[in-house]
Amino acid sequence: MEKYRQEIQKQIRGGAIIIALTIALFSTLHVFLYPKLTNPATVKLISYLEGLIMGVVFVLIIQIFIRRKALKDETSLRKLYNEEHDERTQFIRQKAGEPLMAITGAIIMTAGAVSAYFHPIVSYTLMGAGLFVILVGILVKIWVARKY
Amino acid sequence: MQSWLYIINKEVAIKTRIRELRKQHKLTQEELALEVGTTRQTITSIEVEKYTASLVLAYKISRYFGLSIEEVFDFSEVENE
Repeated sequence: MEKYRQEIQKQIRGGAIIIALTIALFSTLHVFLYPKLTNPATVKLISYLEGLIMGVVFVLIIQIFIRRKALKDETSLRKLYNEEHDERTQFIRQKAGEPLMAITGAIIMTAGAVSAYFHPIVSYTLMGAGLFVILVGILVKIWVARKY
Repeated sequence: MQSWLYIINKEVAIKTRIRELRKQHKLTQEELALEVGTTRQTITSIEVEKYTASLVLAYKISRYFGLSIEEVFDFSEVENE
C-alpha cells in the first residue's frame, strides 16, 4: 500500500503541473495570440480545442481532489486501490472495448477539430461521428455493467 | 454437438454461499470487499450470480472465511455439464 501511496502522490504532483502549465498556456494565448486572430475558422478551432482541454483539466481537478482525500485516510486509500484494481471493472472495460472506443472517438474528434480549418461541414460531421462513437462506448459500458 | 462459438460464449453462473457466510460473520458487503481487495459492486454481482469470480478472488474470499473454494462456491452445475 505504501508503494501505491507514493504512486498517488506522484499522480497528484503530475496533475498539478499539467493544470499549472495549461493555465499558463491559456493566459499567454489570450494575451498575445487571440487579439491577432482574424480568420473565423481558426478562432472556432482554437475555441473548440480550448474547451476540450478545459474539460480534461476539469476531470483532472476532480481526480486530484479524490486522490488527496484518499491520502488522508488508510481505508479510503484501500478503497481507491480496490476500485482501480477491481477484476470485475477490468472485465467490464474489456467487454465494452473501452480503450479502443474512447481512443477512436478522440481521434475522430481531433480530426474534426483540424478539418474545421478547411471545411466546416466535414468538421461537424467528424465531430458528430466522434461524439457518437464515445456515446456508443458509454452505453455499451453501462449495458455490460448491468449485465455483470 | 456443441459448436466452438457456443463453448466460447457460454456463461456459467456459479452459486455461492457468500451471502450466508457474510451474515454468519456479521459482515457487510463493503467490509468483505475491503478485506478481499475488491469493490462492493463485485461482491453484489457474485452473490446474485451475475458475475463469476476469478480463481484468485474465489481463493481470497474462501481463505477469509477459513474454508476451501468448494465449500464457498458450488461447482455442481459445472460438474454436470
